[in-house]
Amino acid sequence: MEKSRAISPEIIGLFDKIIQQAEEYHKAFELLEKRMKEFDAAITKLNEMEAKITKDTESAISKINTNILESIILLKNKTEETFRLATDLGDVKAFKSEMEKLKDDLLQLHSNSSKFAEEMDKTLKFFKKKSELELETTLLGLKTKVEKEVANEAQKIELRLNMRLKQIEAIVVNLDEKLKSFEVNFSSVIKKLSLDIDIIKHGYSFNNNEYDDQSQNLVNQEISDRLTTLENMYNMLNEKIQTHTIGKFSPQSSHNDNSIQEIENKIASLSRKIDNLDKKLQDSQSNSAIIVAVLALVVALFALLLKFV
Amino acid sequence: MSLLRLFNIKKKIQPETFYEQLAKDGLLMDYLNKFLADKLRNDENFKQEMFEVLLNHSNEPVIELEKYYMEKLISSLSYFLEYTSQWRNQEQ
Repeated sequence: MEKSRAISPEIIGLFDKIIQQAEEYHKAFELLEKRMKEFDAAITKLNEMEAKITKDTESAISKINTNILESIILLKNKTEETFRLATDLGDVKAFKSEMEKLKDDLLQLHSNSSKFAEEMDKTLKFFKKKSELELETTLLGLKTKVEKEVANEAQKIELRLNMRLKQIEAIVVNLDEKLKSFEVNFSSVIKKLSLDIDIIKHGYSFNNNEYDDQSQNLVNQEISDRLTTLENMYNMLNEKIQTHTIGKFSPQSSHNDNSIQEIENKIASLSRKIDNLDKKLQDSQSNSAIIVAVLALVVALFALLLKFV
Repeated sequence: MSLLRLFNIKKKIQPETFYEQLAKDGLLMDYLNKFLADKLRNDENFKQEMFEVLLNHSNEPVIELEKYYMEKLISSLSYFLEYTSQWRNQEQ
């Protein structure tokens, strides 16, 4: 292109320079636009990334929150368990210290056990000796006490028996005297009665022989019955006397045996007397009332004897 | 390329106008200031056509033409400055 002469060359040079700079600017702006596009693309990419990152971050935050909540709950549980374990640990420590104390005590006891055993042996021996001595002394004391008591009791029993024997002897003497007076009276009465019976026999012998025989038989039978009852009573009395002599006088001394023999002799003499009376009564066989009275007397005697025995 | 050549050829072969003759003689600017001052001031297309004629056919430097193109350059540069002011301010 042909240069114009209408514009001065300084200004044309200025324009050329400006054109050159404008071209440089154009290039710079093209580069700038390119960079801007790149930046825009990068910005959109970054925005997408940001969105993705925010999304991922939110999900991650929610996950982290849930994990944190779970962790907090787990931590709370663990903390409670830890507190519980701490209290248990305290208890265990206390128990351990107590066990250690007990262990020390046991060791101390074990160390002292031999000494304690020796001391126990010594004390046991001492106790054995002392107990034997005490036992011997107590046995001796008891023996003397028992002997004294036995002697006292024997003396008392002997005195009591002597008193009883004296009383019985006095009673027997009284009874002998009464019996003698009764025999005297009775013989006189029997004599009178025999005289009366003879008179009655002579008066009724011519008519009533058969009737007398029958009445005699009846009387004899009654007398025999009475005698059997009397014998029975006598036997009973003997048995009672024997039982009394066995119960009361068997463990006594020979002195008591003698007194019993005396009583038996007296009873035998009384029985003999009763037999005599029976014979006499059998001889008479006439008056039943008298026999009954005699028998009543004998029974009264036996009763008195029984009372004193 | 061929169209541009044809256009240049057409320019060469067209008849020389009155304004072109005045420009070659160095009288066009005086003519315009004297007879067509209002039109030149108000009609931008006419003003551009006249200054192109001066640019292509004047054999002497014309101060008004230089002023005109300097003003154009200044406006272009001020537009450029204005266009890049935001960027420059960001850079600062």
